[in-house]
Amino acid sequence: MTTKTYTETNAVPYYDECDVLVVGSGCAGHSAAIAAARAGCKNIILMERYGYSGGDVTGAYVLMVPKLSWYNQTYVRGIQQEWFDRLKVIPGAVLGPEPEEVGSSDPVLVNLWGSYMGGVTRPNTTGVANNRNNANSINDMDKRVVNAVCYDADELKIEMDAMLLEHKDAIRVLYHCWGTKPIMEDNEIKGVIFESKEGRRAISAKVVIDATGDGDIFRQAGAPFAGLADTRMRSSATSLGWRVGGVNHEAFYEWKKANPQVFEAMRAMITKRTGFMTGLNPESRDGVYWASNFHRNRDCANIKDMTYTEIITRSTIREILDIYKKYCPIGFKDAYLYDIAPQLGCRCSYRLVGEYVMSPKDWAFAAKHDDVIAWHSTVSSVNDGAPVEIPYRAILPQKVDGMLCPGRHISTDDVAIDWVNLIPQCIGTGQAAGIAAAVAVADGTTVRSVDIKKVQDILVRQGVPLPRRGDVDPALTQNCEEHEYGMYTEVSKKMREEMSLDKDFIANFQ
Amino acid sequence: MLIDAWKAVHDCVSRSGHEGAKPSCLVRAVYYEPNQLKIEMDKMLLEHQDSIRVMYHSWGCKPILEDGAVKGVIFESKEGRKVVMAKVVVDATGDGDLFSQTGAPYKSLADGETRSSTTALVWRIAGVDWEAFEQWKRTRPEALGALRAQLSKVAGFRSSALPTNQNDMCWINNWHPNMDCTKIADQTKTEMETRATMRDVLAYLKEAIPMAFHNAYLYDIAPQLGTRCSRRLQGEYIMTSDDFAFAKKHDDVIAWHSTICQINDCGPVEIPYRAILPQRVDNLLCPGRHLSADDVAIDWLNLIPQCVGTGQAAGIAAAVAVADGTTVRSVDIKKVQDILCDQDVPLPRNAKTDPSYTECCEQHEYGLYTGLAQKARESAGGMKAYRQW
Repeated sequence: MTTKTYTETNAVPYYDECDVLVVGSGCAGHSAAIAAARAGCKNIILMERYGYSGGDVTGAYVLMVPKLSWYNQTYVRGIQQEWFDRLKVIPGAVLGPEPEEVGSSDPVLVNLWGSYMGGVTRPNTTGVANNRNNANSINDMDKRVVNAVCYDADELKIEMDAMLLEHKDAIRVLYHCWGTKPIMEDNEIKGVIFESKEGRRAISAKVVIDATGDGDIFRQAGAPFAGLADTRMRSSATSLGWRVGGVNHEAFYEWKKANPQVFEAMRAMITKRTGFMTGLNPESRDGVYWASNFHRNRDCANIKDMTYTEIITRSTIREILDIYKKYCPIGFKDAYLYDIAPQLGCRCSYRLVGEYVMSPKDWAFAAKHDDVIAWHSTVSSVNDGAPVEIPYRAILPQKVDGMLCPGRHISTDDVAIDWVNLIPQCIGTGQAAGIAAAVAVADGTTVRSVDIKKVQDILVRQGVPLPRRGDVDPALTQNCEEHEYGMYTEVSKKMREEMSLDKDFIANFQ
Repeated sequence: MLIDAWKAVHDCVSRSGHEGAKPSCLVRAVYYEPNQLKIEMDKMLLEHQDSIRVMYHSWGCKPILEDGAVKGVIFESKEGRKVVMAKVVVDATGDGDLFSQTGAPYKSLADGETRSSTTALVWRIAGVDWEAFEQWKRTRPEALGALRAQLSKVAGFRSSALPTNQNDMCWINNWHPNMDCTKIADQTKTEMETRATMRDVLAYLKEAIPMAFHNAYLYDIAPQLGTRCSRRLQGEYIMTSDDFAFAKKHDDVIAWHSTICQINDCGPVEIPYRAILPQRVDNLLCPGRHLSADDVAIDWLNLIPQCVGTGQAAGIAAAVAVADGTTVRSVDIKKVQDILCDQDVPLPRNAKTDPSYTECCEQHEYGLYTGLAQKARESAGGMKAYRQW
């Protein structure tokens, strides 16, 4: 390692200019561009370093979204729901319970959906996380179906492009362009420098949406930020996905139910032999599973850690598959390596420290925010998965003007990041960021002073339910009140009792 | 019998050169599974982890020059914009991303009439019965042309279904004309236009050839753009059709490859070291699909085997230059060639190489029996106007 520097002196030519520049076309950036176009903005540039949209979804193979519902109400809608509505017409492209099945305790449905990751849940009054699918529990009576959906990565790549093409009068897509550095004028962002096969270029914009997931832009803009997550959390681990084909889904499920200890022992064997944990879960197409793994204390914005994750995962894939085939032949005798993800699986590296920093308090106290932009049930067990309100200020940086930061680098502390850096929250905050940017530009204001009521009105019109609104189905709020916003958990009770928040206390239960 | 079996697999049987007077024979054309190859390529790197430091997710974007010599490279990464300093830099970006910024002469794109001036986005279809498709093709030769035309029409650009190493999978190759894989707009257009008609292409195949495709489904879409050619080095030697038509010999030969070029009936051609050595700039080698060739010959030299071959030679030359304290421009080429042979790379006129290679070339006149090669010898202009699609 050296501390020498090399000084570059050449000027960077401008490539284009626009009203709204979205850096990153993962699920946050893509949603932002689409939402901005639908909110009336006609001058949007969407920049993406890979050749397709979707980021960790289509590239790193995170092929399911959990906890879209709480009890029998689905809170996550908007563009997330649109994905599913679009994919539904293609056989095998999406799989999830029907609206009337969500929250059901019917054993037939519980048994069916229990075979999918996050497909069922049990009331959790302790507030202590139980990450098992509970598929092996002998008592099915208190389980209920959750709206968790899985889908096909490649059909989604096509669909995300189709959505962009529908707005080609408003959105200019720049694939194969890596947004690398903000152009600043005092505290205001004026554009972004990017690398491409045409060389290093710049784009000037009125509003920049940093949807890089790792704060690549906001970290260099002077906005306060924090690094990595608490090492005990899910988020402080990298992953490299891969897929398996030829799995006998039903046989594997029955075998897991009948042999829970053997299944656990097999997973432990894999962890021991490879040095890291791997999980295999089904996607929407029958027989195709995706693998996710956890390389602890690795930073997805560190070259050595990224390279290590790639190489070590690939070097163990064959061995892992062999273990499944050998010890669970009923499920895996015809299984084969389908492919290896072309993108690294990233959970968390840097996080914005924005105008509001979310924390477990938001869950334990069912905090209400006037500037709520997303109202999502989440994977947090602090409130047993009840909806939480994500405020606009959680994507608004301190100090820097003209920029919004939706997605997995959202402003939360290092414990709560685990519950809001998932795909639904990336889409939800992205959708809100796009609308806010469009409104600010149209009104001639800034994203800092944007008319948040207008933004919320448009969000609701775009199918996003928000609390305390007369134009949103009252059943969503009734459901929350009926189940006390999940504040019946022991953990949340203790937190409210103690009033002060001890991070270690929460982390120990996650 | 073998010919019959391998005929189904693209390019595994020789096309008839010399007006069909030569009998068909088996050709070594190999298919492989890309994800298994990813694992193997990593393994090869791990075997040398004492010498090779791998930096994935790092985009090399600009050379650092000092007095006409490359001293290092600037790259972008999630850690920010950084520099690596080096004694020798091997530009293996495929598009001369580095050499095009050094002052080394280069040219852009290929001739609009050649294969190379097109981009592609490849995708795979599974649930196929390729043998059934071959049967279909053989029993309906007249329909085959119509199928190809209609497939391209449905896609919106020339497309073709090709086999893989598995009977139940095929890949769709395509050719978007007049596209430059180093232009953002062209890259984006290729990506989006290909994905926009994929479902239609699959639906058409299912409808047109149900016996082969009725269970077919979209397997995956390539995560990288299919690139053939953009910038080409104009190095110390520029390969042309004449290298093929005249079976040119080079003292500094680093690869001796049979190719897809029909001028010499796919006979071996000699690729010289000077085809990866830039003019004017020191400490830089440029193997791979941006090597030094004119805009016609690039079509036959930018394929995977030539990339692997020139890459292997570049690595050895760099190692020898550093070890000997010389430059890559003045490296001991005999030493490089000896090491190449030790690494199982056959070279002509080299005592370490099995004489049967040369005997085969002589026996078949280096492929110069073709009408094209004859014409080249007769005309003063050589092969200037020749195009092969």
